[in-house]
Amino acid sequence: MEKNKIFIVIAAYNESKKIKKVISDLQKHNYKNIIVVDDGSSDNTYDLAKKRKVFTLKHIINRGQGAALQTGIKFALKKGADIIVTFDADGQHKASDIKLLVTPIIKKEVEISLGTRFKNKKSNTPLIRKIFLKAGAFLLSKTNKIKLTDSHNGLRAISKYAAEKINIKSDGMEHASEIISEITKHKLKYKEIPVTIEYTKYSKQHGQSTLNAFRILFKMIIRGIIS
Amino acid sequence: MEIIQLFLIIFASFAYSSVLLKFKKKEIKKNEFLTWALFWISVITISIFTGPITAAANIAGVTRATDLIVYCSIVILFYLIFQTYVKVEKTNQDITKIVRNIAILKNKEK
Repeated sequence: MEKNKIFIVIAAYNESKKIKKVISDLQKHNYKNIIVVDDGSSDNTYDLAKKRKVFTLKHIINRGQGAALQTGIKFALKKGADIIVTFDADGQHKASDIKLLVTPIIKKEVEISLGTRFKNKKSNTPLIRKIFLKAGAFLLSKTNKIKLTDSHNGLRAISKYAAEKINIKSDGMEHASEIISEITKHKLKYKEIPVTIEYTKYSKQHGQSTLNAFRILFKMIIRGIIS
Repeated sequence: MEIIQLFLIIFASFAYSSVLLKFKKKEIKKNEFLTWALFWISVITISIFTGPITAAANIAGVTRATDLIVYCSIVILFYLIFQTYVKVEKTNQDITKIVRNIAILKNKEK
């Protein structure tokens, strides 16, 4: 499959310090279809992205990462994407890992590839975060009858078929759990692919807090009741 | 008549008139008006005729009628908070849809 049909969706909120480098890394790997969804940033993230050769969308107010990703996915589908890759804007993902994620989809082995930082030992995950993520993966595995080693890893590749089925309703960080539920709901074929997450002082400050896990759980329950 | 009864009657009457006014101004729907009107009229009735509520308290195993009212009020309040939370969530989802469509439409205009 040509890279022209692969769309990279980046949800960015106040990422002016990193967005340029993230985009140029992706472009160096020859990914031409990059969609930056500025989620109502108060800095110049949007203007910086606009100067590069990428699609730029702007949320007029901040709605959260889940909402921004769904916007990007919807737009990518409109543009004729065959595979959509979700990629973090804070520079902790590696553009070289995308190939590993999309290959099983191209080979039609799976419909969605989920990045995991725990199947290789290259990620420098802080201990507390590791415990939280492992606990999250355990809970998600049990509640969705699915085997997972990682939770809330933003690096994933989604086939067109899966992207059309998955509808992210969660605006915030709980979208990652929702995607797992959607995999079970729509019986999508999935696979975990080892990827490297590079934690830096910057990415740790921008990432979600451990306490946020409780809020995510509560929201998932409420959403379950609503739907 | 005790002071608390008098206070409840005055407060409920004020609340009822407020609901009626909002309905006349078409700020609330007929169903909402009927629900709230029924609620405040019930408060007034219970405040005047305390006999039935005392009997109900005895059946429920609660010593005082006031305690029964407080317990019921807590349950109702929790339900209303939950309902409000659900409505806020729904509104949030709708706002996101609008923001998303604006973002995509603006890109088309470029």
